[in-house]
Amino acid sequence: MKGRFRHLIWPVLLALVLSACGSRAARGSSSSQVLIRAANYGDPGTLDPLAKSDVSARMITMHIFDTLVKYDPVARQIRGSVAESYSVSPNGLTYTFRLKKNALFHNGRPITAADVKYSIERTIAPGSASVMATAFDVVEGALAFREGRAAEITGVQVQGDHELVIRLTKPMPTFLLDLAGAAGSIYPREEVERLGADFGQRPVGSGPFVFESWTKDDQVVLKAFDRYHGGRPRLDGVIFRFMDEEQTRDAEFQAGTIDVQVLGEALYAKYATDPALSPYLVEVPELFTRAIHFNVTRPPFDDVRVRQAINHAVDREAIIQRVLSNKAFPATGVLPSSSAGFNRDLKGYEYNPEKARQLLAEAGYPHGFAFEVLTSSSTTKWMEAINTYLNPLGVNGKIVQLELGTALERARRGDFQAVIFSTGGETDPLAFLTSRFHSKNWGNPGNVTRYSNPFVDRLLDEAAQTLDEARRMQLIHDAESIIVQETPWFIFNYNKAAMIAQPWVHGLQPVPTDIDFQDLTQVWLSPRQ
Amino acid sequence: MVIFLLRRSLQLVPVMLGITLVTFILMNVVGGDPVMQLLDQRQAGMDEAAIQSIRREWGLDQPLPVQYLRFVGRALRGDLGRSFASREPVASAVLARFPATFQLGLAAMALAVAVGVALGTLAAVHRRSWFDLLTMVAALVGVSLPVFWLGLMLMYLLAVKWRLLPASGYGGGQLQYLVMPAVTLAAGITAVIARITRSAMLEVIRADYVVTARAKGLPEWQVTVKHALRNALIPVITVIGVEMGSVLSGAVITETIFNWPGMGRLLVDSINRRDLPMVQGLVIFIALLFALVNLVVDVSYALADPRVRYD
Repeated sequence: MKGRFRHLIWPVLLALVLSACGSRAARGSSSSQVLIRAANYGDPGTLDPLAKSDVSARMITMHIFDTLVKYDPVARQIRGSVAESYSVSPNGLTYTFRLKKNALFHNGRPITAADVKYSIERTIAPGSASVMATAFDVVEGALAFREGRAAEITGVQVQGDHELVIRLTKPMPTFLLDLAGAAGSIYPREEVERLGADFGQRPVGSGPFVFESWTKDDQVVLKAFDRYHGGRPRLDGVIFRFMDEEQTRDAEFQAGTIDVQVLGEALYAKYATDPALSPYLVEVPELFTRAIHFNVTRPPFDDVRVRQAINHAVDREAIIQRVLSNKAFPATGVLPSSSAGFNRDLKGYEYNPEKARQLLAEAGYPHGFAFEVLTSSSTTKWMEAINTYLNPLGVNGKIVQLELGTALERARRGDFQAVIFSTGGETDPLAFLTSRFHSKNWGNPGNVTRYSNPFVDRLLDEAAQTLDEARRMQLIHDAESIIVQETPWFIFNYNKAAMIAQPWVHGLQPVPTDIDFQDLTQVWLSPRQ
Repeated sequence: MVIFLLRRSLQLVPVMLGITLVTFILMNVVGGDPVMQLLDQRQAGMDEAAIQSIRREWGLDQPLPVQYLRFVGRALRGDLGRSFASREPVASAVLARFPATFQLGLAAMALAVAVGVALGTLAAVHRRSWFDLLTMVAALVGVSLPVFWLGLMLMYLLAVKWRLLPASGYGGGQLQYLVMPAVTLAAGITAVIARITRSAMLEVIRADYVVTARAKGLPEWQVTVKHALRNALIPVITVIGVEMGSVLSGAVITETIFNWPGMGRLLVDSINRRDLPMVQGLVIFIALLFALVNLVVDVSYALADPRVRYD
């Protein structure tokens, strides 16, 4: 027994130690054109855009599924993708798309106009529990189809293999933007039917990258689509590693085993002040505005003077410097600075505690008041910093920290006095304003503050029908000026998104819609160091 | 023995019902609408009717007691439902994560038992020596170290500074990916096992039969291992059973730090997403696992101590 034991144990131990220490992580030592990205979200669970289209899923599915048109968020331009060209009728109601003949699905079959119609119908089909069910309500016959009253969407007409006509019920200047998003994903019918519920686990699309493998909660591997109609990507593949822990991400980045990571405030401060690494930072003000959203139907925030007072009371720049590690820009309006609708002439609220005191006195609160503010783990410290400016005026925001989803749910129900969160993401400034400030959108659709001004509603409605871009922008600016004046928000700051890449990564872009939405066909790697 | 096993299996029924009911109530008390979790802020334009249709599709429009009873009814037929977040069947999602957690738990437990029993025995044999003192101080530190901190420290030293091991991930089950998570998870359990082994050994080491064994002229290692340790094992086995719970709960943290694709990480993600079917499925599976381990522990008493009988 003794001898046998000895013979067994030492080789086993030696093998254990050698295998543990001898080889570096195979994933990081590759010299090929495979980009390893840290996805700073958990595993999306499904890669079917219909079932999930938040950032965690979209940052992957946008490379697998192609769309008729694509939006270039840096140049702020729509360009054809599966569609080689498109035209819009003068009344803005009819869109005609000519499809590329060399656009293929990953299974090798050419994409036809019938596939696009099928995909639109799949996205809004009754019983699909699609998160994008309302995406095509503006298309003729879409509502009847979605509600199960029609067998097809009459407003989407297939004219041969390569021409598609879509008719709208009213002009919608943002229609192409919607088609460029997750809702516009084109699916191969035979694969959807073959895979059934498994389609989200083994997606087949027509984008520049092909789904290769997925280790749940670990990584998704995509490889370049050799026959992509826009040309084969320079990268051979992309690995998305799911890492929700910032410390773990950073350890992997420092060990050189991941190529790109998105940074939070603490890490941003570290990399921004490091002269060796700061050149590899990619920074952009994202399309998000951080704000305290006041419930304007309840006292004390039903009084515009109180809301204005709070906006004058806080030194935004000081908080950004001292608390947010400079990873933000002071906000002057509700639309973020990277929005196409950003108004540079809007000056916002200057820091003026005296004026704040005076406004509070006029509103009947000379000694201030206390209010309840819903926060989440990431926003509590914002509110604590804001309170240091409010307290000298006798105003105190009593912090109620909840899980973000719960806080938002209460806000949508109207069960709150104030709630602090970051909001945005829409490429179109009108969509941003309409969902948050139009009185038709109270509650769930996005207007949590219950703000209502018939004149603002009219301006937004008119902008929605206006095809002349200059006139449309003027209407947006006019509406925003009134909103900022009546300020249902404490307009705090615009988030600065930051990403750090290893020196061998090239071609990353400051994408304002979300820095995670990189166009990976433009990215390439020099030899790793 | 058979009757014992049957009785224990029957006891599981009310336990399972209780566990699922508590989980169901807790998930609903905590709040957070699972449908809202599915929707991106960019879908701000979703109208109430569309949201209601998603809710209907998932049966979330029913009163809570009906939702719970439907769940129990399906579970009894072996159907744990589909995940809200990924739409995949819960049972297959949980089973897909089980091997990774099993691998991690087994490695951590094996490490903890091997090191803990060895250290505890040596400390008892060399009572009041510097080795004993050092081992017990190390055990105290091991029990007190937060798993999170230990994991990150190991990561920075072994992966970032010395580049000996990959920092995180599964690596398709390669051994070098397992080392750090297993050591992190094992640390606290090793300490507990070492302390229990030491005190159990101290009790038996002066027993008459040990003195007799020594008087017979048996070598010291035989006296320690065959006569003393075997008799000291009962409390150690009990602790191992209890610590299996620590392995499962510790795995939640360890798997999160090290991106280990196991059940613990899925549980955290599912709670964050308000994915009730997935949370329920995981809780049932983990509870069953825990009950099974305890059953194995009870049965193994008989192996360690021939006087123990279950009939």
